[in-house]
Amino acid sequence: MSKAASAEPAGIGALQGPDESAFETGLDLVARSQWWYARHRFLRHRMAMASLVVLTIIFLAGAFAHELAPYGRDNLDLQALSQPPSWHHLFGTDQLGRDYFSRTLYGIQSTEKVSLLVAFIATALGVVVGAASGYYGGWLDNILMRITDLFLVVPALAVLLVAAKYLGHGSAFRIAIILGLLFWTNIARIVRGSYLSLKEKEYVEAAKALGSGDLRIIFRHILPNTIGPIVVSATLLTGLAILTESVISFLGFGILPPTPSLGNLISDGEAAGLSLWWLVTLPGLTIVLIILCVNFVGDGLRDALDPTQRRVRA
Amino acid sequence: MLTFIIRRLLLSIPVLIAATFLIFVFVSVSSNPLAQLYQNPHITRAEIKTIAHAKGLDQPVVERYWVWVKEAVLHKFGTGLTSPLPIWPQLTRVLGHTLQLLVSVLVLSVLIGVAVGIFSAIRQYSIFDYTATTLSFIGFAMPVFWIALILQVIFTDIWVSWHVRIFYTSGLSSVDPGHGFHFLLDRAQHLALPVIALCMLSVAGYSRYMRASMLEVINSDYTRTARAKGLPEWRVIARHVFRNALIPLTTQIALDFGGLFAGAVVTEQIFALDGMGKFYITALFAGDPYPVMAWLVVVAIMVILFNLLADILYGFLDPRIRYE
Repeated sequence: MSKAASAEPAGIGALQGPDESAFETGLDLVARSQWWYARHRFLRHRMAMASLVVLTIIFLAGAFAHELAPYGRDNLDLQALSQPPSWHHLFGTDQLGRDYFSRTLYGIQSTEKVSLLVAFIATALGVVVGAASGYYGGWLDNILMRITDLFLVVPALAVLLVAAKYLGHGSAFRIAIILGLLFWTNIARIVRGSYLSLKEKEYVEAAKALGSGDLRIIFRHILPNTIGPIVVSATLLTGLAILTESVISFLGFGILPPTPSLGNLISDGEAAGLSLWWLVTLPGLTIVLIILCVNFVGDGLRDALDPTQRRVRA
Repeated sequence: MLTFIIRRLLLSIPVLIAATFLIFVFVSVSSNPLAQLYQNPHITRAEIKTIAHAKGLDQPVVERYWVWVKEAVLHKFGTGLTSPLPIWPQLTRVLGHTLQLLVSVLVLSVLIGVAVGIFSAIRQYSIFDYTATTLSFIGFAMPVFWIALILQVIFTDIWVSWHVRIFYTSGLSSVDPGHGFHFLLDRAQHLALPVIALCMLSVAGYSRYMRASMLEVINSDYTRTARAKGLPEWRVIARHVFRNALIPLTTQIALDFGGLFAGAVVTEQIFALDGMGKFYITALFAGDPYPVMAWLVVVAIMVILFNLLADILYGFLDPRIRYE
């Protein structure tokens, strides 16, 4: 409950919103959960809401690329080679006459497949390992910290390229697993930190006194209190996964053509020659837009779910 | 201080060994390093056997790792599998080039980032502050390789349309770079675009970081005391706020150094710079694990040294921290 109390100041302004009638009668106060406050704070965060809408549109467009794309993924149109952007071809065409708007939609599809899977794998693994090592400490904690040390020494991208080269790459699924196995330590570190401090709280002691087992304490009592940082870092991780996937696909170690991804569309564009500027620029702008939105949503979530961590507001 | 440095260096040895061992085992187990050689019709089976024996490839993985360590320490990484050229001279050559790039990026981005951060913090919520914030958000969202390509498109276009050579868009030197000042100018014109591309992200990060830590110090008690005793504002900012706000930034800069190497991998690939990044990608594509391992060791050592430097600077900037 200590968290709900600290959320109070932000909630007071919110109380005057939709439920003024409750105050006029002077009676029945509505009991509000922490989630109500969190949702309310998020909905009032204009940038985050707008970004969420844009992000949803982009992701839906990617998911339904088969229905939405005006041309086929690999359709060659010999009448329209190397066309600059126009109403017929919004993102132009490449030197083979493939419509880049359609290809970008399919690229979004593979990118979102990868990034959502990465976020899922990394979060699931990170939460379990982080919780166990933060709660129990001991050898598990030692191993986790040593793995983190290794990543401090060797750049993640270098390890990633080695892994992609030797584990094989190409399919979105494989890339997602490699990225997930690399990124889980980020989340594990954060979860471990919160468990280390939260396991000393009075409510954990109370739960122990009532006879709760370790698993119940870990999942029922502590986990809901760390959900804020977890959701925020999972969101930002999705953005990081999109950026990283585009980098390794660009270098030729990720998703391979003809399957488009936002990264290999750009490297195809580069290979086609820099005079076809739209092939490089427009898929790249798509990445920028997606990452911007993800970051804003992450910021909004942080403000909403983690009121104790008041950043200096922009 | 000296004992601190020595202890830190000794402690980083096991980390280095663990990292190289894991990657070595991973690479050895997941593929046959000789596969590349078998495909080459100019190499006979007998020759492959000699190479395999010299590298200990006919032995178990742990033995192989030991052979590699011996070769790395005694013969400066020896040679790769696919080419008879020794690795070390190539690596020192490309390391020199990459350091030219990265040191320029580091100096420029810290200077610009700190300046922007300070100005944003002392003029909080001004137009400048909002513009800087917006630009840094955009900077965070741009993939480095994409900025690099856009710069290349723009400057190639300028050259093609008007025949004005502002910056070169690929390579490290012209065919005939000249001497002295002309050589430096030529090198600067070649490095400018990669430096700009890599700076974008770093400047975005450092300016945000500096702004946040300035604001924290500005609102602290000792800043109020400094103002209360009647110091002029510039002096409060320069002597009390700025110095203290720099402390967390030094750690951040050092931790970012590994990431900068990663950024260089992509940037050098695009601008065809003969640096560490290009070396790494070429070695990976060739399927030769030995130059890759050598690269990882050199980068890891650079990162360790940089982190150590940051810790030393940290103690220097903040006398409350003592290393015993």
